[in-house]
Amino acid sequence: MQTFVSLSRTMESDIELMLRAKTGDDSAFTELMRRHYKGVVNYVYRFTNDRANSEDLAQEVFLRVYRSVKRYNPQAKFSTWLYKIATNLCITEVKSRNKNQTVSLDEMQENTGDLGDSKSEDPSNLTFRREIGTAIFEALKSLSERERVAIILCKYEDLPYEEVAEVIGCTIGAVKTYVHRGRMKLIEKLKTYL
Amino acid sequence: MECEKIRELILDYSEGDLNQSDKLGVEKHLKECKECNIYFEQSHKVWNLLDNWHTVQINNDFIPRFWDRVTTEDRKKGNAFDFFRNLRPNLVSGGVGVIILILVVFLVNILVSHHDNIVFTEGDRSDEELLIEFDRSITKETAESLEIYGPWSDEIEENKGG
Ligand SMILES: [Zn+2]
Repeated sequence: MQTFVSLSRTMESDIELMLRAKTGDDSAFTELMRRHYKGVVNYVYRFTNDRANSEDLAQEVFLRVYRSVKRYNPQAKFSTWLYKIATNLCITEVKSRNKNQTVSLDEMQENTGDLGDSKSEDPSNLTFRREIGTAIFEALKSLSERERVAIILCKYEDLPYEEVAEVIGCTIGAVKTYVHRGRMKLIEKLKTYL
Repeated sequence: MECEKIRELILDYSEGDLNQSDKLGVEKHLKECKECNIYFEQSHKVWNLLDNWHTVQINNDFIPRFWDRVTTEDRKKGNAFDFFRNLRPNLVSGGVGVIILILVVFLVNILVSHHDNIVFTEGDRSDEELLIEFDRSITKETAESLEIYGPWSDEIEENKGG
């Protein structure tokens, strides 16, 4: 019986979990976070290129979802709602950082990217990974907000065009245009690596 | 088809989302147009290049830390509410205290002013006028009496010296 209950729990959709969370069931919210936190942390990281603060910002995203769980209306997919909140937070964060840009280059290098298994990895490989990571981040940063969101969500978060359209608040055709334009600009920016 | 139109369709083409006629149109153009062919290749390459930016490593305690944060925030909020809750009875008792204090000051003032009740009569007025007159005459006399030491100009100093 218990196996059946736990099995049915694992089959629960995000919306069902969210509806349980709405009634005050924190274990349902924990399950939602378990499913999505890696995606959200990485999404924030692609936006900010700041390894040290990505988890904090991602927690802020979940905190906002948690605080507004009572107002949740299951009209859209949970992940759409989640990425919409994350996008707004990231854009605000990036804007405020651009205003108070006091991070030194050394600090940026220190906070940039996943260092992986830096002890066992070939140093030249590690340097290349850091370099390419920064180059991609800078190239993405030069795109318009919508192009950037569209490319990060499609490429890194693997979201379908329909969902990206809902996150941005545009049509599917517009998302494809953003991705196309973004790719064209990225070719220009990253041509030394092609 | 024009190059720009083809390039817009390349995304759908590479994802297999084009209808048959558009698909054939793109393929035909790619065979003939060198530039669009280069773009097609580069578009793929750049998309794959993005894979080199790896995912970030995340600490395992993300979820427990989240709940800690929720607890801390709730506690802070609770403390703020407690403050306002405590503030209410404090405000009531404080208000009563202030009212009592005002009443006491008011009553004391009435009693004291009753004892020091000054009646300003016609005799008082003439006394005051006399005092003012007296003060003026003293001031005048004082100024005149001081003249015996002066005038202290440089001219007199010179005469004394001469
Ligand atoms: Zn062409």
